Amino acid sequence: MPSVSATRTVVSRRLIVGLEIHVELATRSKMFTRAPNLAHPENFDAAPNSVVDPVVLALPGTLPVMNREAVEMSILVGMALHCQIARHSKWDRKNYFYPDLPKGYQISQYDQPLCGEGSHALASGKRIGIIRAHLEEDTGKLGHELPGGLPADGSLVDFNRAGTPLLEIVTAPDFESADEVVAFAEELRDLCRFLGVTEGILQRGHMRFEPNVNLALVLDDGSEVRTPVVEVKNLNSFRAVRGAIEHEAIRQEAEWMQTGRVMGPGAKSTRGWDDVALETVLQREKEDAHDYRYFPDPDLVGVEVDDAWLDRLRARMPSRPDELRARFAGWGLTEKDIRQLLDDPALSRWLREAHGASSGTDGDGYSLTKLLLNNVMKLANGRGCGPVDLGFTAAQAAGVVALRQTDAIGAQSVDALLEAMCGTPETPREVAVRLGVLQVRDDSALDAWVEAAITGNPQAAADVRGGKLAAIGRLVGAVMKESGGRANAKDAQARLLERLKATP
Amino acid sequence: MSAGGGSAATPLGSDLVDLRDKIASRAISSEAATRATLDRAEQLNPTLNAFHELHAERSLERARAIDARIARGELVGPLAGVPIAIKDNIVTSWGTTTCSSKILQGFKSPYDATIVARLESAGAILFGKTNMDEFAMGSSGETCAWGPVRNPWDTTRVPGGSSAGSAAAVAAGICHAALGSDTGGSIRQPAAFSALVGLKPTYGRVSRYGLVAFGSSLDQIGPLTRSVRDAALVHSVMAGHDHRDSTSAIEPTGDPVGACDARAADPASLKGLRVGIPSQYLTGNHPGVDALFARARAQLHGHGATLVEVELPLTEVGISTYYVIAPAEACSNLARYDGIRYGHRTAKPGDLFDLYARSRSEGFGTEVKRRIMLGTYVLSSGYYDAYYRRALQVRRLIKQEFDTAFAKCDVILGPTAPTPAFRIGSVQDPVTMYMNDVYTVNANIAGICAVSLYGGMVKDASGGGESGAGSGTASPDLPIGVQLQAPAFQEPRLLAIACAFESMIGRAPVAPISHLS
Amino acid sequence: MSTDAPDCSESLTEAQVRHVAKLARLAPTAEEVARDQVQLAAVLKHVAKLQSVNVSGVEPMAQPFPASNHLAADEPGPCLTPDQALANAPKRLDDFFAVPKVLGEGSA
Repeated sequence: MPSVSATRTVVSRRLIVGLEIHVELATRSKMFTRAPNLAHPENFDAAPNSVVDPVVLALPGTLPVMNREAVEMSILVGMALHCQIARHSKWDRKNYFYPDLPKGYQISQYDQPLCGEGSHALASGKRIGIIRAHLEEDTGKLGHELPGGLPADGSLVDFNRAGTPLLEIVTAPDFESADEVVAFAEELRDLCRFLGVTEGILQRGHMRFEPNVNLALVLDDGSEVRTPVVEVKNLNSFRAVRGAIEHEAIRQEAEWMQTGRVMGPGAKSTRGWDDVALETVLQREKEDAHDYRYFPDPDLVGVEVDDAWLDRLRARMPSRPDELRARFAGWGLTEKDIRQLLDDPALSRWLREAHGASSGTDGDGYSLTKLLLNNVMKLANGRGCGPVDLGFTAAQAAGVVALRQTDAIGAQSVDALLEAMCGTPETPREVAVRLGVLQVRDDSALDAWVEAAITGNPQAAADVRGGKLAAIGRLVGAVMKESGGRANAKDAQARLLERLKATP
Repeated sequence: MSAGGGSAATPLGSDLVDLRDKIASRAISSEAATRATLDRAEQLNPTLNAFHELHAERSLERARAIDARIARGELVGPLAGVPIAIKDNIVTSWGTTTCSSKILQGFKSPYDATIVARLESAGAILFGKTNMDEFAMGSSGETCAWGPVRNPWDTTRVPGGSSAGSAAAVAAGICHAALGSDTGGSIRQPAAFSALVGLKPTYGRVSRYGLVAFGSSLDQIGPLTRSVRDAALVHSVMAGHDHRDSTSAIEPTGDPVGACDARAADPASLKGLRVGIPSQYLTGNHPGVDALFARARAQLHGHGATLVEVELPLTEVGISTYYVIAPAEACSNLARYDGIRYGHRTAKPGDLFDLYARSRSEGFGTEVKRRIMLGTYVLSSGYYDAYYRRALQVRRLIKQEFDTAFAKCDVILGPTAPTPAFRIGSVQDPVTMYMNDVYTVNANIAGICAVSLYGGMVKDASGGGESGAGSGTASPDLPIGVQLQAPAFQEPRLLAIACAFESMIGRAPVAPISHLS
Repeated sequence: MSTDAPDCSESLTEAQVRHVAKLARLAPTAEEVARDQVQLAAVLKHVAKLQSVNVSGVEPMAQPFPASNHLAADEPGPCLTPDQALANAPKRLDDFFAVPKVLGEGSA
């Protein structure tokens, strides 16, 4: 019962936060049917109600079938969070009525989730407990105006998002500050992006956060009271997460001073975040919101995870961001390059494959990174695609680095070579031969080009003879031109110098 | 006592296999058979109300196509050219699928049920959708939103439910086979009331993709026919794994048709068969049912079968179990009917709650609403453990009871229903209606396979209901059914035994209303 | 979820029936509520026979046969066009399903 005490003062306070995160998994098809998944990059801008099928719309007679990839992605996340992976998990129906919920129930996991207890160590070293992670399906979207902002007579439902695989992760109430929560949210996003389970674009709703916040207030008599827990729903930016928690920290203490209400059964409430007014707002209580009448879904069978499956998934696990950073630093990359690689998981995946196909030294890593960031990305950007869509594999690209390392091609030929490699399974050497950029190390050919260059550039030749060695560049360029790019630039320079010193 | 080969005016053959063979040999055209079927259906529908829709144009076109392929010597499927009716809770991409409910009046499915595709691949002519108890909830055919269905044996009586229209169609000689669905007896009980064979396959044996869900862990699709061999054929076309149904079984189907060969059909094959007789099945029945059950036992014994006493003490509590599990699953399965994506929507909804509550209250009939209420109640907070969870525990015990019994016998024998068909309107109390299912529900609860066979004719002296003329009104003799239950996935064996039993008892007579008599 | 003893009285209260109807999104008339109070109670009374069965140590069984891992490969399949999706819609606005104005964001 509320006990308002005008004489009690708060001597200190501790913030207590637990976090619920919903991650939309980027499978190609939906959780329980094969209609395309809105959360996959290839579908994100789908027109309303264009990625739905009879199962999504809950037409009479339809049935769900589990998406294997969604289950595997969830296990990968669970493993990365050091969770127990359940040997047996099952599906339950969460029953309620809302227009964005086509079946009138959501398929979820109630008492036997796919992932159990785990933990995550923040970069700061603090350990956050994970209570569980389970799979469920997302709902459709309810809107209140037509595209273009036109007013609608009623509300509008788009079921594109309905059925998207959703991984719900629940942490223990181990956070003590908004900073910690945001750090965790950022690290979780990085982790999920690196596992390739989501693009993690918060503005697209790929991850949604719901902090559960309360305070432990230490009073002047040494006693401690706890304010009622507040759940803040559907935050989809780090800024909102920070804002909501910081706001609650202040608001809850002030409210306790007024009402004396403490944590207890029936005292939990739900609030939303007003991103404009920058405050949390009490949501209308739904009276029977909590009688979901969970029961096992009779249309689905359970998931049995054995050791063989876990082993296959372990082999699939890519490196964690902190491991990657250490490796890239070992290759001698600059902080700028490391940041660029960590920001885009596609790049580090490409590099992993390329490095695996090379002789695997740190020097190879360095050269491959330069090739990727300077040449491959230039080509990819020019074509408006990613490095994996250029039509040659990362392993083939490793062959280009090998050619450069033996000076078989000149630096100036790399771009043309990569372009010619698009869409062909030939080795880089075969393409280089075909293109005619394989450097020619034939002395007599070189002599002929050197003579032609000197003859065609008498001023530059005179300058070099006169001691202005800077002019050698023009002559090297001329040799390259004569040879159609096939001369070796270093050899050309050496030969030119020899030749020019020799003649008067 | 088979019917004649059919007059020239109604070229339908004596049963499905016979018609199929005659079409294949071009003695009868599928077009003629389909036309005769459609004519018959039209002619009898005002009396029986068996059909909600007939699809004449589409069926005749498909029939002609089959005839043309046969004429060209092409290979056609095992059901080629044969008209088969389907229950209106199986979705078709043509016509409508209503589940005999106003809430789905006019609903057009964009996809076909898996079994529809399989039957059409096999060449069947799916010519119409039959009436049923609304959303398959009923044991009489009286809760159909399009009016009650009538029993061809006595049109003042129910044909049984929920596959009422399918039973009436076959019993009236309109077609040789119709599909039903069975959640607690909805194929077998109408079969018993209409002198038909009705097969409920093992749970998961036949795909449920495209069967409008009622009791998801209980539902199966099966055939109603006038012979066991016909049922085996139709079932075998539908049976088998479907990747679109997560509860679909991967067990091999075996050869149900081959199992019904001549050797199996010989009553001599009954020698040495161990037939379980549960003591719980011997009481509480209509005297005519008891008498015919006793006669069946005696005949089996006479043919060398061994009658084994088995105990199924949970027989009656199966009704309690069923009427917790089925409504619980149903209330959740029917939550999608809300007037938003399809189906009936109330005319002027105020707010969202109004949209839901009025659309659903207007669209659903009384029995459906009752079961939704019941299901919601048993799942609701505070009652889940006492009702739903407990029912699932008893479910396991019921299954174990069957397992124990089957250790001692090959099949279990009993009446399909405790009474013959009752008069329309005569059963008003829900619990009394539910007790119709006492011998059928446990097979759904345990998932095993079961078939109802013709068991003989009884006299029913009961009056009341629609005939209204009081007791003493002469009533035609009424058929009753005898049920065989077998362990899961043993359909071939069950059907073989059923064939022998059918020979022993004799083929069912045909209803007087049927053209075949 | 508690383990309340089930209701074995002759009828349910009006409040109980109305509560269940609300959960189920049904709008019974006063007559229907009164009838349900009696008829539902009758069914529940029959169903109470479950209490007489000894279930100690028995695991609940939701499906008849143990099965698991019915998983599909993540290959996108066919879907409906918006017109097909909306073909049966009782009320349509542009390419959306229309409902009465709803306040608030998403589902519970």
